[in-house]
Amino acid sequence: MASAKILMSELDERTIARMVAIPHDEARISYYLRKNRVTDFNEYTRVLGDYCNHHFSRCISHGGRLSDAQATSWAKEFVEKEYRRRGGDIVTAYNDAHDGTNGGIRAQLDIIAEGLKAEAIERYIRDTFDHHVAPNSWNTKVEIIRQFIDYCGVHLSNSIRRDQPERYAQNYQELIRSYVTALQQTSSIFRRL
Amino acid sequence: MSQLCSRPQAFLDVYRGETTMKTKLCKLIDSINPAHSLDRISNLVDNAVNSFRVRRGAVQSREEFETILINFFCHIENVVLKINPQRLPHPDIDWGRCTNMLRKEYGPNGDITAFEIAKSGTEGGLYSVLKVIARHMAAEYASNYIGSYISDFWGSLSADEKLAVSKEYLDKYGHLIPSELMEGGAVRVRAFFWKVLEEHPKIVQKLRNVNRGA
Repeated sequence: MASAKILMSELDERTIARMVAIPHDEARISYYLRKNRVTDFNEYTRVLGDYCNHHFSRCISHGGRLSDAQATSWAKEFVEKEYRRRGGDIVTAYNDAHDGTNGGIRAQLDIIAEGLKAEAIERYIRDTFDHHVAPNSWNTKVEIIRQFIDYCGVHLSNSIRRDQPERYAQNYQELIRSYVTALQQTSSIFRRL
Repeated sequence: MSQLCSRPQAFLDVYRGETTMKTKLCKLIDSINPAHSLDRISNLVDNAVNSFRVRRGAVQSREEFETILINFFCHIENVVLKINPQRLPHPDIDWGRCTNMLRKEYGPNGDITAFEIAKSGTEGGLYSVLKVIARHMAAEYASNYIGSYISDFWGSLSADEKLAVSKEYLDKYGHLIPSELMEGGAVRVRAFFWKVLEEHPKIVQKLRNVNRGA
C-alpha cells in the first residue's frame, strides 16, 4: 500500500542529506589538493579526472574506478556545463585553473562534486518514487495523489480539485516534487530567521 | 599601463612620482591591481582551504561545530598571513570573528543557521559553511590590503593633488563609470573618490573575465 507520508519523509531534505549529500561532501573534503594551479592542459585534465575517480570510487561505486579517459571526460562535462552557464567554456575554466583565478582548481573540483551530488540526489529521488509508486500502476498513482491532497491539500492552490485525484495522477511526480522543493525553500528561509 | 599614463608634461609635474614617469595614481593602481590584491589573496585562501582537514561532512554537536570553525579560521590566518611560528586558536576571539562573518552571510542568527546547515548536511553542509568563512576572510584581507594602500596614497596628497588625481582617474577610467555619474563634472564620483578607488580592483577583475576563453 503506497503511503504519501512515508514517500514525503523519504524526500525530506534532511533525509536526502543524510542518505546522499553528506557522503558526497565527505568525498570532496577528503580529497587532498597539493596546489591550486596547474601548469598545462595535460595536468589540468589529469587533476580533474583524478578527482572525478576519487569521488566516484568513494561514494558511488565504493571501490570501482572509471578509466582515466572516462573520468576526465565526465569531469570536463561538469566543469564546461557550469562555465557555459556563466558565459565561458572549458578554455575559460583552464585559464582559471592555470592562473588560480575565480577559485582556481579548487573551485572546479567543487563544481564536479556538486554535479555528482546533484545526479546522485536525482537518482535517489527517482528511485524513491519508483519504490513507492510503480510507474505502470495507475491505481497506485491515483491513491498516492489522493493521500497527498489529504495530507498537504490545505497548503495547495485552490485551483487543485481535491475530489478528483485522477486529474493529477499522471503528473504525480511533478506535483510532489514541486511541493517538496517549495518546502526546502521555506526551510531555508526559516533557518535564517 | 605606461601608455595609459602618458600625460602632458605640465600635467605630470603636478603629481608625478619621484623616480619614474609613472604618476602616483598609476603606482597606486599598479599596487592594487587585482592580480596583486584580490587574486593573490584569494589564491592564498584557496591553498589554505585545500590544506585544512575535516574528517566528516556533518557535525554532531554545537561544540564540535565551533571547534572546527575556530581551527579553520586560525589555519587560514596562519597560512594567508604566513604567521611563523603559527599561532594557536584563540576560541573567544576567533569564534567572535567567525560569528560576524556568519551573520553577514546568513542573517542575524547566522551562527545558529550555519550550525543547522552543518549538522543537517542540507544546503551544502559543513563544507559550504567553511567555504563561506573562507570567502569572507578573503574579502576582508583584500579589503584591508587595498584600503591600506589607498589610505597611504590619499594621506600623501595635498588638496590640489587630490583634485588632480580624481581628474586623472576620470580621464583614464571614465569610460568604466556610468554616463549619468559623469554628468556635471562627475561631482558624485569626485566626492566619493576614495570609494571609487576601493572598487577599482573589483571592476578591473570583472572586466578581465570578459572573453577569457579566447
